[in-house]
Amino acid sequence: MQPHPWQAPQWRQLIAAKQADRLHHALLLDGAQGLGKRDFAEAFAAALLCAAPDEEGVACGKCKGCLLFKAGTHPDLHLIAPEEAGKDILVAPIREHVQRAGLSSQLGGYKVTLIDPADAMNLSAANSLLKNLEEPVSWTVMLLISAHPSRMLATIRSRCQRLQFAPPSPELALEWLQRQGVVDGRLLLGMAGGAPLRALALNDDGVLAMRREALSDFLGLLEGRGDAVEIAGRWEKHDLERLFYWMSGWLIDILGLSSGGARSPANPDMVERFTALAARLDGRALFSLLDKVHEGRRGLRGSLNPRLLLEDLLLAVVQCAKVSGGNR
Amino acid sequence: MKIVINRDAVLEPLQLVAGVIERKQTLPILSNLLFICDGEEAEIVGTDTEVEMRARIPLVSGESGSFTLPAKKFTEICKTISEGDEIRVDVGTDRAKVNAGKSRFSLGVLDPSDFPSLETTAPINRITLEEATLKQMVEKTHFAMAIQDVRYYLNGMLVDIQEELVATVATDGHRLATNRTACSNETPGQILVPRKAVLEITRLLKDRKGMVEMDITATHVRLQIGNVTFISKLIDGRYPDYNRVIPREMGEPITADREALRQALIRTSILSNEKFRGINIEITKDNMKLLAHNPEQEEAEEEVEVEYDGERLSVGFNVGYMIEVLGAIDEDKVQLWIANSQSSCLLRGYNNEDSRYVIMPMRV
Repeated sequence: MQPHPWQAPQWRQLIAAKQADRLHHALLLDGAQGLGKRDFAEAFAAALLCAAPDEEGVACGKCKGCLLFKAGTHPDLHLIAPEEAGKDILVAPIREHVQRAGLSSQLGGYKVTLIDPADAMNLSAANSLLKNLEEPVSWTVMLLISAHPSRMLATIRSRCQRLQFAPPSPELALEWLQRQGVVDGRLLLGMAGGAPLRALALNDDGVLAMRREALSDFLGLLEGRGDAVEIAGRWEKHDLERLFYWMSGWLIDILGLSSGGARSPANPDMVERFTALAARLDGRALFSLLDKVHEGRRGLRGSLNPRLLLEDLLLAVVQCAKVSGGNR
Repeated sequence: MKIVINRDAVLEPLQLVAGVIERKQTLPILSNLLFICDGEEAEIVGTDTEVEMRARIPLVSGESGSFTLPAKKFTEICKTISEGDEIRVDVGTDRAKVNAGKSRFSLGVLDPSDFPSLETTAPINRITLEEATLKQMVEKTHFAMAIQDVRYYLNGMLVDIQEELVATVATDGHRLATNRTACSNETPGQILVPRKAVLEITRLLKDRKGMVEMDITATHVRLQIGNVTFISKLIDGRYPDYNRVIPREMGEPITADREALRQALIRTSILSNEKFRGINIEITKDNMKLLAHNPEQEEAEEEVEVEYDGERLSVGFNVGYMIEVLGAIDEDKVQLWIANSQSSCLLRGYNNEDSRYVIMPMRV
C-alpha cells in the first residue's frame, strides 16, 4: 500500500519522524474530502504494523503483520467509524477502545487506532477519548481523519499534531486521473474542487447525467422558469451532500464571473451561460443564496427533513431570481 | 483435509476454549476456532485478541494441517450428539462437512492464515508455583481490582516477582488487597495482568497439587495448566508503589471473631446509604460499635465484642469493602490496625502476615 503521489511530503514527514523515534501519538489528518486522507492513513497504519517496510517506509505486504492487515484481522489495528455512514460515533465504541488501549500490543509493535471521520464523535464520545488521547501508553498511534476539524472539540484538536492535506496541483491530479482511465479529467476535477478521489468518484455516466439535469433545473430557476417544489421532489432521490456541494460551486462561479472572473472556474463547460446570469442577477441576493446553501449543507447532517430543506432552498433560488428581476 | 475425533474426549476442552470467544464480534474470524493438527493431536485455539486459550485434543485419526470452524456452532454440535460418537470433519475450501452418527452438517470455514493467533516468543521470565497456591493468591486479592477506571493500570492485578517471594496486588484506589508466597526467583520484575484475564484464570485454576508454570514475555503472560495453555496480553503501564500504601502495624491491634464481625457488618449495612455504603465504627476498650443511618433517617446500631486495649477511636468505612475482605480471609480471628480516625485500616487474618488488606476511611 502506497500513499498517493500528491501526499509525498506528508509521507516523508511521518516516516522521518518514525525513523527518528519522534512520532507523535495522535495525528489529525485534515483536508477537504476526496484527497485520499483515508488511503494515506491506511498506508501509514500498514507501514507501522509492518515488520520490514522498504526504504521509503512503505509496508512490505508479505510479513505476518501485513497479511493480517490485508485480511482485516490485525489485532493491533482498531478502526472506529459510525455504525451508519453520516451518523455520529457514539460513546460505546470509544469506551471499549479506551478499555483496551492500556494493553500491550499483540505482535509486539505499534498499536494503531484509526478514527474516521473524527468529527463524527459526539460530545460524550469525544470527552471519553480525551484522557487516552492525552496520555496514551507507549507505542500507540492514533490517526484521526477529518474534513471538518472545526466541528471537533478544541480539546481534541489541541492534543493532536495536525497534518494538513491540500489539493494537488492540477497537472499532478490530471496525470493521476489519466492513469486511472479517466478521459474528462479537467471537468471532473473542477466539479470536485480539485480533489482527485472525488473526481474519480464522479467519473460515472449516471453522475454526469445527474449533474446535467440538476444544473439545467437550477439555472432554469435562476432564469425564472420551472417549479421549485416539483424539482425538489425529483432531487430528493439524489445524493444531497453532492448536490449542495455542486450548487455552492455553481454560485461561486457565477459570483466570480460577475466580479471580473479572475478565478479559474470550477465548471469550465458552463462559462457562457454563467456569464449571462452573472450580468443579470443581483450580487447581494447571490451571496445570501450561497449562505443558504452552506447552511443547508450543515443541516444535512442533522435530523432535518431533506425534502423540506430542498424546497426551502429552491424557493430561495426563485426568490433570488425575482429580486434581481425587480432591480433591473 | 480430514480428521476424526471422539466426542467425549473433545467436548470439555472445546467448551473451555470456546468460552473466551465473545458473543458479539466485529471480525468474523474471531468467532471461529483454529485447529492445528499434527496427525496424532490437534491444538484448538480461541481468542478475543485480549486473551487466547489453547487446548490439546487427541485425534482418532487425521492428517496434518490447520483449519477454522465456527466456534459456537461446532461446540453446540459436539454437545448435542450422542455420547461416545465419533465425529468426522472433512474440510474443503469454503465448507467443512461434519458427520457424526446419522447427522450431517456443513459449516462455513475461513482462511486459517487470517487467524490472529499469537506468535510464541521466548519468555524473559518464568515462575513456577503449585496450582492450589496460585489459585489462592489470585482469589484472595482479585475482588479489589478496579472496574473500568480511567487509571487503566488499576483494571488488573499486579504480579510482583521479587527474589524471595511472589506477591499479587489489586487495588481500586479505595482499598487494596495483597497476598504473597515464598518462591525464589532469579529475575525480579513486575507484570500487570488485565482484569478479564484474571477472572478467566480463576475459572481455570483448581485446588490441585501439580505445578503451574507462568511464562512472561515482554507483552504477554502464558500459563500452562494441564493440557490447557492460557495466554493474555499485559497492561502496559506502571503500577503505583503499593508498599507505601500499606500502613505499618502500629499501636494496639483490634482482634475480633471474623464471622461474628462479618454478620454484624452485614446487618448494619442494611440501613447504610445505598450508594455510598458508609458506616461509623466506634472502638472503645474491648468493644466495637457499628453505626449506620440512611437518608430516610433510619438507624442501625450493633455492638461486637473485640479485644482492644487502646485509645477510643471513631472512624467511617465503606461497609461493602469490609464485608468483602472478611469474606476473603480464612482464619477464625481477624486483626485490625487503625492509627486514628483519618488513617487507613490494615486488616489481616490472625497471625497470617501473607494476606494483607487496606481500606481507606471515609467521612460519614
